[in-house]
Amino acid sequence: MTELFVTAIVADNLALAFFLGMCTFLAVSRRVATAVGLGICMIVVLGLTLPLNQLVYTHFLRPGALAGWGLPELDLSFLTLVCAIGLIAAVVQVLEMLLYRYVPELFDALGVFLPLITVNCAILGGSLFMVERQYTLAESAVYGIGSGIGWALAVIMLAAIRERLEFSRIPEGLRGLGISFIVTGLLSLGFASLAGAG
Amino acid sequence: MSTIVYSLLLFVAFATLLALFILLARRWLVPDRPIAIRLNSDRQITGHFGQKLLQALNECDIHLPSACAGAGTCGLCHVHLTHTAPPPTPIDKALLNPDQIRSGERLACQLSLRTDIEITLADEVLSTSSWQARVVCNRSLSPLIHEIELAADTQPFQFESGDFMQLTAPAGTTLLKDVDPGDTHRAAWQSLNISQLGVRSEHPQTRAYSLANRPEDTQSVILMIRLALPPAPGVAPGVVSSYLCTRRPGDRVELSGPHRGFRIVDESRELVFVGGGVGMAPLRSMIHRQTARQHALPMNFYYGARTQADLLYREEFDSLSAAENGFSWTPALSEPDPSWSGEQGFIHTVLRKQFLDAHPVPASCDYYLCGPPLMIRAVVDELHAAGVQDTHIYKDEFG
Repeated sequence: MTELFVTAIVADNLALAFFLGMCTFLAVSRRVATAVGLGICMIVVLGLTLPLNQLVYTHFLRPGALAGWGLPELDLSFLTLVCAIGLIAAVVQVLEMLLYRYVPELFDALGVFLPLITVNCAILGGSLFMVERQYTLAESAVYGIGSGIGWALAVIMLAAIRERLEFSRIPEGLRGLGISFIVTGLLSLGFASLAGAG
Repeated sequence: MSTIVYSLLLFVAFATLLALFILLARRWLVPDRPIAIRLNSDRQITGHFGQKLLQALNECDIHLPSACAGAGTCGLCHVHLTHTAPPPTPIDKALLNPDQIRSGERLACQLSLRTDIEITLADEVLSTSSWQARVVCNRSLSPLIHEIELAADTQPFQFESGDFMQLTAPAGTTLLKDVDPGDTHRAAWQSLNISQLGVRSEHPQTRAYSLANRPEDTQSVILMIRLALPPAPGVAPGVVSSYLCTRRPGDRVELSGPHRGFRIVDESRELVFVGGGVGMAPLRSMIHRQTARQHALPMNFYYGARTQADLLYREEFDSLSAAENGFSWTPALSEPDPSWSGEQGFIHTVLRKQFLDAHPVPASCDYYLCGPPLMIRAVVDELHAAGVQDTHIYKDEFG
């Protein structure tokens, strides 16, 4: 379990090993404060949706899941994608309402990227990996929280570096997204070197 | 076959559950509860949770000045929060200065009502009225610019040069074929080929227009409206400007004001007015005001337009500058026809050549600018290059 957790954070990092959720990753990494907020949102959404999707998959969609209902032959696993997206969308929408009510500053700072978490590939990717790797409920919860922490860590690191870079002399053509791509690549190399640390 | 039926059943049940979950969460998290807004600690009005303060005030017939109608670009609708102000939004930070933010001022159009609040408003805001004004006259000054005269609610109409009014177009459809371009501009209007266009608005829309009143115009509200053309093919023209340009004498128009705009600050300095297009309106009002007060030092008016047809109030300013009362005006055309003998080019270059380069101390004058944002930026750059400090540049941008 510990190994799964550490691997999800470091070597299997969704942002830096699989390059998932790049649009949010690059767009909301200008300020550390916002990146921390987004990171927490990602941890919450991944930590909630993965076990929930695992439950939906094992109890309704997986081949033979409905054997108890007298339908042992039924295989509804082709509905995994659409059910996963629906569930993620619902969780994000509720999260959005929670932030609006209790942390309006973060709600304003995240802007349109909050609803866009719905279609963030990192979150859907997490759910699909969970199905592919056949995690149990406990494993998927650990994997969800771990990969959420990994993604948050990556976006906060990138934001911290980008804040520092604002005062550096960067060649004109590389300013903004150009240098962010290079930094992301270097971060990715760093994370890859930690493979096997779990 | 059974797979199709079961998958449909399962998916419908799943989606229904999710919808129920969201509805319950909404009920719990986003309640439609009333929020109390205390004004100057003696009056109380009610808004809804999540509503913008500006909208809540408007619904209670309190009209804050707002040139952009809540879009967050003009920075005029600031209110003072008496006790605790919420953290400033990025738009607050961009449009208010740090002192204002520290003292608890926020933009009403950016403030969402989440808890009961207490605000302080100036008395002049509370006394600003809104009324249905009768259109007295609507004539076209150029193919796209109309001068609209509305009957004032009080006689005499109390205003200060530089003030602006807010006009509201009701929901509905406006067709540009109803625009009366007048005999002088009919050919030019038809050549624009836009009379088949129309615009539809689902909600009432409000826009701000500067007063073009001279001091003696105390019976009516005089506004200059430029028909906002579609920025790209397939896009509708401006809602409020189309509505206003199609008004006929006798129609009623909802308006509020006057709201405080930019003002003549120091009458003991040489004044330079730079305008473009309908930026003429507040400058015309200011120039007439200063002429009537027998401004002691020279006044110069630089006005940029495209063609001769776009030169507004030409005779009026020609006769004003011929009166030798220290006023001179320099119109410049960017797309002149061969019959034009005056200045050519953009107004910022003409201003530099004719005024800044020739004047012994350009920094000793006050500059009042009104026009499109690009023109303002170009003029401000020229003024900076001539050594003029920002404290002597007053501007009213419209975008």
